[in-house]
Amino acid sequence: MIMTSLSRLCFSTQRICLIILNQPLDKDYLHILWSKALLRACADGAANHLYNVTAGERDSFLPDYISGDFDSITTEVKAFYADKGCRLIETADQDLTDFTKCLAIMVEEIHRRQLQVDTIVTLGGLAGRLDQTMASVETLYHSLTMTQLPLLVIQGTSLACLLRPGSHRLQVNTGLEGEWCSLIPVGGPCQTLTTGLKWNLSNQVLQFGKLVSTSNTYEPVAPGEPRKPVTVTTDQPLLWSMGICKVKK
Amino acid sequence: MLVMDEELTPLDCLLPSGTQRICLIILNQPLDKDYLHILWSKALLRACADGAANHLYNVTAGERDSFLPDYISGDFDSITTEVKAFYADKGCRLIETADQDLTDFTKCLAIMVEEIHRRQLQVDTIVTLGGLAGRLDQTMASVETLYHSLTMTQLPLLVIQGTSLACLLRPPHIALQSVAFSTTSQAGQLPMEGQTTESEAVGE
Repeated sequence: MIMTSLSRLCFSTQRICLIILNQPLDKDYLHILWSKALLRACADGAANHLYNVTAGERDSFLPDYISGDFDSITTEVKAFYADKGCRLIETADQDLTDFTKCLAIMVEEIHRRQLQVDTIVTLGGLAGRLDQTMASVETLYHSLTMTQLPLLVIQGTSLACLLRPGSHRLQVNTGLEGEWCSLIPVGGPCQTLTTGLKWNLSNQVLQFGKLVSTSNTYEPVAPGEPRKPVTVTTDQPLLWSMGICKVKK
Repeated sequence: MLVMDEELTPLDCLLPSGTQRICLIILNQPLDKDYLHILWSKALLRACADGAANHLYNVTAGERDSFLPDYISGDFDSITTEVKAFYADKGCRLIETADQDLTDFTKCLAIMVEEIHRRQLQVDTIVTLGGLAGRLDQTMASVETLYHSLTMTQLPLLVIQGTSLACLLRPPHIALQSVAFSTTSQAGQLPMEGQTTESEAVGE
């Protein structure tokens, strides 16, 4: 399975859908992802952040829908987007988070509209309350049974993506890669084989309490040479996380 | 066999009136001044993991002499030369723990556990400031240290940053194991073996 990560954000030909979560919004990420996205959605209070960050150009940033239990979105913001014709989809409180439910709607819409999509990209979800970061990881797990599409989560200078069991090739030459990368066995032990990392895994088992790959980096190459792709083979879902360098090198 | 429920008041350490006896580890993250002041005042031992010393140095400007850690440990790739020299001058132990598979946090914890044992201190909890924000892999590395701590010490390990606290609840039967790594201590101190010697099982 071939999968690019950051390259999907760079190349104008990549087809993405965008979910925005209830976290401070990075304007640069927002602008580039919004411009590429075939569908754009806000999970509840994310609409507040979108509203604030797009002051002066709000009409150019109208989401296709806002979903959630609406306990975070303000009355003013809700009314604004409703007035503009954005769908408000109330998803009642259950065991599923606003993120998971927003994703479910996104998957359904992609199917309903027969859209050709490469990746679903999420802004937010990796900072703030620790339990909400973990909830984002939980949504990554749910996504494995909800859609075949890769789901990326981006906030600050971190990107996270859950690799399905099997083999993956990650292209890491966009110029947007930060210095670090990691493989985190959040769901349980993963027998892992990698290439292209500075500290590769040779069919070792990653497991909390035994071995977790953090502060890893890419295999060094000669100056001027492109980085080799990172390949990861795993027998269980494995969380790939990497740093983002906001200034293209 | 009766297994006692482990009782813990996680936020006792942040209460001025709290009764827990704590030791403090500071990690390389922006330091919350309020948390620092209350935890420092209660702590029997205080340590910085590498670049944490930079944050401590900055946040305690004007009163640095009141905030001298017992030791600073790590691979020293984050601490600045100025900060390192300052604390060395003041007599703080600098313990270099060479790069391995263990993070600065885990190694700092190992030294803390050893010091508690060596000094025969009565401690209830080890509290860590930082470790839950910033890079996602470093948050996960903190979780990994929480896992390692289960075999390094009986003491609960709390991690606090921002408005989050994390603590790993242990199952009833975990055996303690030695954590062996070699360290060299600078500032004229003797080299120290980082090896715990406890080997009793928990819950028996």
